[in-house]
Amino acid sequence: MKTTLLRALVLGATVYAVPAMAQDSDTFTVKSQVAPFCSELSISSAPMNLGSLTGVTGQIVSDFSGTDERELAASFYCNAPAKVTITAEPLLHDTVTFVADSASFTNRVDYTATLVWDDVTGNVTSTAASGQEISAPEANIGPMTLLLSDPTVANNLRPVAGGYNGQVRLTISLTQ
Amino acid sequence: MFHRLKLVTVGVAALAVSGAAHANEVSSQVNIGATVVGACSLGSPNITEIDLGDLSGPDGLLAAPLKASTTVGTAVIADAWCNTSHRLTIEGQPMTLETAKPYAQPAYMTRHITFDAKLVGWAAPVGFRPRSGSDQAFLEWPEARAAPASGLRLNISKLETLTAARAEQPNLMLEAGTYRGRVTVTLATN
Repeated sequence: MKTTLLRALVLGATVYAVPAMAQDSDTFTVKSQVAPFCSELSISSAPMNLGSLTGVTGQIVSDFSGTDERELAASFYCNAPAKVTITAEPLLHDTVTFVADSASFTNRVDYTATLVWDDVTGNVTSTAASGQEISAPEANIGPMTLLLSDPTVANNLRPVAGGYNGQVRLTISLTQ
Repeated sequence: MFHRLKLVTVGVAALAVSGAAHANEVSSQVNIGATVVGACSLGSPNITEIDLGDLSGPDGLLAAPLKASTTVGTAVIADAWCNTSHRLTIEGQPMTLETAKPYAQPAYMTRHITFDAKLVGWAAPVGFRPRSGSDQAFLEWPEARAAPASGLRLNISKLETLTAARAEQPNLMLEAGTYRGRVTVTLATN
């Protein structure tokens, strides 16, 4: 930009020095650019409370009884192609790190995390070894919502009583 | 010239703003929480009454096989579990003659029979001998536990006659009638 302006100044001085002509014209090209950009994503640190994980039999419920949906942004946008990497970490017991009766009980509950960003959707399960990439091949704008579903345990084990915590991590990267 | 300098100044300012705000990558984390309520459960037993048959031998005394340590009656409780620390309690009453008699229990006869009630299939066997009706035994366990697939077994053995004061005394003659006792198994969270 700076170079262009200096050149314009020099050209201006040259034109000023040339004798007047009956008709003359100069053409200037107007140039600018828009940098690829995503809006900021500010998410509350307050956990989503999925409620009680078990029913009267002590087995895992088929659907979360608590809050299983959160709007992360009312209008999140990227003005260029982007990808969202979503990683779900399992719900793990707060304090029980070893289950002695592991033939009957577990301290881990898995689930599916689904991200909906306007017309872009993708999901990942917390059993996955790595995150899931969700492609947004065009500029996109719209509400971004996280949905959690399908609580599961291995081998139909009963979860040990107590509190459980997990995380869903989101990384939104521009791809150009 | 003045205007051009002004334009240059504006251009630099715009670059400075955009350089700070353009994000190539945005990361965030959603925390999630849930709970599992502490609970215990016992499935239905395969039978609710253990019938030991005729208690008396040919001499009117307690039949000798019933006095042995061999199990003479069993009930199985399926699907017993606790998902947290808990207490397993077994309590009950001796077998007592159901028919009320208009006279006191004779010294050489009995209307009460005790027995070993042993629960097998938990972390360790839990047993007791009901005599007065307030007898019990319990096992504290610090973590979640479930019975094996074969279930929790209540075994009855080692019957013995009781005096009116509920002291064990062998060779008392059994008064005729139906005898019935009770054993209650309870799993409860701590």
